[in-house]
Amino acid sequence: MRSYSPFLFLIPAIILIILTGLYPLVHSLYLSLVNIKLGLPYKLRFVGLHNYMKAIMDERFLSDLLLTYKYAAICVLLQLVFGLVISLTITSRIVSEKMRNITLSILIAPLLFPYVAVGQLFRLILSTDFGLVNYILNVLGMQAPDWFGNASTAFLSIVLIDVWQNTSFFVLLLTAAILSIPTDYYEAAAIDGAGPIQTFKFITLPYIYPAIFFAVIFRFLGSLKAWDYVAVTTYGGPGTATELISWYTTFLAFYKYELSYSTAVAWIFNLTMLVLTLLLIRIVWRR
Amino acid sequence: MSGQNKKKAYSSMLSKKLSRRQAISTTAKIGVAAVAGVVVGSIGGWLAGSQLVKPATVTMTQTIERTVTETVTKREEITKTITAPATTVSTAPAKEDPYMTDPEGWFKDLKGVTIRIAEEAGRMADAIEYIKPDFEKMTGAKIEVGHFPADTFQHEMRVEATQRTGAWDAFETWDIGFFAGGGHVIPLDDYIKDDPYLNFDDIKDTIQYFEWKGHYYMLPYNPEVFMVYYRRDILEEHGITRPPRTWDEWLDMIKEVHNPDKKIYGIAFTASRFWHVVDSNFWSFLWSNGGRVINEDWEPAFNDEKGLEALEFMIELAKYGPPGIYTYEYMDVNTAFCQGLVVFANQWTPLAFHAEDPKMSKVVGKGGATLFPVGPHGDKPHSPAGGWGHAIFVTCDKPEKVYKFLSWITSPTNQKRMIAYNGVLPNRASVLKDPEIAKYAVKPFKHEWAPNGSYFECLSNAFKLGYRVVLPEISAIVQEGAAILSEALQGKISAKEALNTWEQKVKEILKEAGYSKATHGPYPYY
Repeated sequence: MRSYSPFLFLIPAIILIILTGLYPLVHSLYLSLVNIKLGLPYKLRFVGLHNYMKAIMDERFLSDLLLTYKYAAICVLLQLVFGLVISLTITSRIVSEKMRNITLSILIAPLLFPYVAVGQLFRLILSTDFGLVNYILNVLGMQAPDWFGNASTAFLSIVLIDVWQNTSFFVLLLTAAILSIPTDYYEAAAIDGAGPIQTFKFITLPYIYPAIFFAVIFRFLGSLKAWDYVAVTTYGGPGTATELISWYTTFLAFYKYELSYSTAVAWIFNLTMLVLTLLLIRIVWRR
Repeated sequence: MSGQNKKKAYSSMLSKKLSRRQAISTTAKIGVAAVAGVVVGSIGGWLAGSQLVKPATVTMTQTIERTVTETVTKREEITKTITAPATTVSTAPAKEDPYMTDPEGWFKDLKGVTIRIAEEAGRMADAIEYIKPDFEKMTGAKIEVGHFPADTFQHEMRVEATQRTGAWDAFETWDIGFFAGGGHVIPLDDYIKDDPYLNFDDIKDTIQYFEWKGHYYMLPYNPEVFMVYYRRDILEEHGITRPPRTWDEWLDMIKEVHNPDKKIYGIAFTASRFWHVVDSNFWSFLWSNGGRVINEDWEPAFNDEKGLEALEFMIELAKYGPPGIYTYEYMDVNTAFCQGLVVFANQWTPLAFHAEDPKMSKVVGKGGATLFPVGPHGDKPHSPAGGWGHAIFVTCDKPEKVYKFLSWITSPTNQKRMIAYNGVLPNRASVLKDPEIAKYAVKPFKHEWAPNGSYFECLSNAFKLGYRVVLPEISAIVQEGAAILSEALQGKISAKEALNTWEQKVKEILKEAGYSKATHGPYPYY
C-alpha cells in the first residue's frame, strides 16, 4: 500500500490536467473531423480529413500562416536585439545599481498590462486624426502616416505594439543571466587583453545562450498566438494585411460559424508550431 | 540567512561575485517574482475592469426610489448627480400607463420568480438596472442583469445558444438571422397576441425588424436607424438650409464645405475593415440606389450597375474624409463628428445623443440628421434600421413570465425614463411623437422627413421604411465583404473587382446553406 501512496496524491492533479488540458484538446480534434456549423441548422456527420484538405487548399489560410510566422519572427528578432542592448547597458559599469533597479521596475510595467488594454492604448496613440504621435509629427511639420489604415504601416504598427510590450521579457531574463556570469571570467579576459566585442562574443554570449534560447522560444510561440492587438486595432485589415491566424480562426468560427473548419485550421497551425519548436530545440541541443 | 548576510549576498550579486548555485537561485527568484507580478497585475486589472463594467446598481436604485417620491425640483437635483441628461420628462409612473398600474392583474404570478437577462455592458444594461427596481417592487420578481463586454457579447450569446446551457432566460441582440434562423430563440407571437398592455400598433414599425419567416422573435429595445448626420451651422454658413436629397447634391455640398487647410473635412464613415463598412454603409448606398443585397432567387444581387455605382460613390466620398478615414470604426466616426472634424457623418442613432452631450461634444446644438439621399437609380431615401431587441432562449423554462418583463420594458413610461436617463431609444410611435423628448437629440433642418425639425420624427419615418436583410449567414456575408470593400475603398482593387470577388464568396455561402426559391420560396427581404 505504501508504494502506491505517492500516486494517490497525484490523482487530483492528473484529473485537473485531463479536464483542463487533455479533454479540450481531444474534443477539438473531434470537432475538426466533423461538420459542425456553430449555431446553424446542420446534420452532424463525420467528414474525416475533409476540413484539413480544405485548409491546405485555402489560399487565404496559407497566406495568413506565412504572415503570422513573418510577424512572430520580426517581433522576436526586434525584441531580442532591443532586449540584449538594454540588458547589456543596464548591467554595465556605467549604470549604477540604483539606476538599474529603477530601470528594471519601469521596464517590467508593460508586461503587467492586459494585451487588449495595450492594443487600445496604441490605437489612441497612433490614431491618424486624434493620436499623439501624429500630432507631434504635424507640429514638427512632418508627414504623418496613416498607421492602421495603410497595409504596410498597419503590419508594422502591430509589430511595434508587440515589441513595446514584450521586450521587457527579454530584458528581465537576459539581465538575470548576465548578472549570473562570474566576474572572474571578465577579469581573466581583461588580463589577456580582450576587448569589449571579444568579451561579449566569447564570454557573455555563450553564458546567456540558454536564456536567449528560452526567451526566443517562449516569445516566438507567444507572438504566433497574437490576437488581441489585431482585434482592437485593425480587425485583420486593411484587406487581410494584418490577418494573423488566430484572428482568421476567430473569423471562421464566430463570423462564418464554421467551427469545425476553424478547429482544423487551428490544429494545422498548432502542428506547424510544434514541429518548428522541436526542430529549434534539436538544433540547440546539438550545440 | 541574517539581514546582514542577505545584504552581503545582494551586494555580491550586483558586483557579479556569485556562485553558479546562487546565480540559478537568483534567476529563479526573479522569474517567480515576474510571474507573481503578472498574476497580481492581471487580478488587479480584472478587478478594475469589473468595476468599470458593473454599474453602481445600489446608487441607481436609491435614485429611483427618491425620484418617484420627491417633488419635481428635488428630482432634478438628484438626477443631475448621476449625470443624466436634462430631466424635465416625468419619470413618475403615468397613471394612464397600464404597465405601471396593472389593472388586469397580469403581473400577479411573478412573485418570487427570478428572471435572468444578459445585456451588453454600458448604456443598455445600465438602463435596465435603472428601471428594474420598479418592476421588482410591483411584482415581487427578481431581475438579474448580466453585463457583458461589448466586444464579445454577441459571440458569447451565440455560444450560449449553441451549447443550450440555460444560464440566461433572455438577452439582447440585433442578429435575428442567427438566433431565429438557427432555432435558438422562441417565437413571441402567442405572447404578443395575449399581451393586454402592449398595444401592437404602437410598436409595429419597430418590431417589424425582428420578424423571421412570418413570426416575431424579439421585442424592440433601443431600436436604431443608420442616418446621415450633418453640421447645421456649417451648412448654413455656406447658404445651405436643407439636407441633401440626392447623391449629386450631397457630393456638391461635401465639396463645398471640405476644407483640409482648416481641418474641416467633408465626411466621416466607416471605411476600414470594421463590419459597419458593409452592413451599415454599403447597404445604405445600395438600397438608396434601388439595389438589393439578395434577390428573390436567393442569389447575391449587389453586383449590378446599382451596386457598382454605390461602391464607386463610397470610394469617391472617402476622398473627402479625414486622413485617418481608412481606419475608422464605429467610435471614430462619433469622435470625428463630435470633435468638429467633419461636416457629414454616416452613423447609427447614438450619435444623435453624443453630439448633444457637452461632456463628449464640441458641436452641441449644431447637429442635424436625415435619411440617406437618393442615388441615380433610386426612388426614395433608405436607411438600414432595426437596432436591438430582446429575445427569449428556447432553454428558458418560464418564457411567459420572462415575456412579461420584456413587455414591461416597452411601456411608454419606461421608454421616456430610459431616454432621459442615458439615451436608450424609444420603440413606440406614441413616444417618438412626444415633444418632450425632442431636446435629447440633434435638431435637424425642417425637411420632408422631419417636418417639425425633430430628430425623432425623422427616426419614426425611417422605421416605417422596413428595409433590412435577414439571413442566418448574414454575418459571414458581411465579414467577407468588409475585408474586400476595405481594399476597394483604398484603391488597392477596383470597385468591379471587389464586387466580383465578394459575389463569388456569397454565392458559395448561400449554396452551402442550400437556399433556393423552390425549397424556401422567394427571398422576402432586401
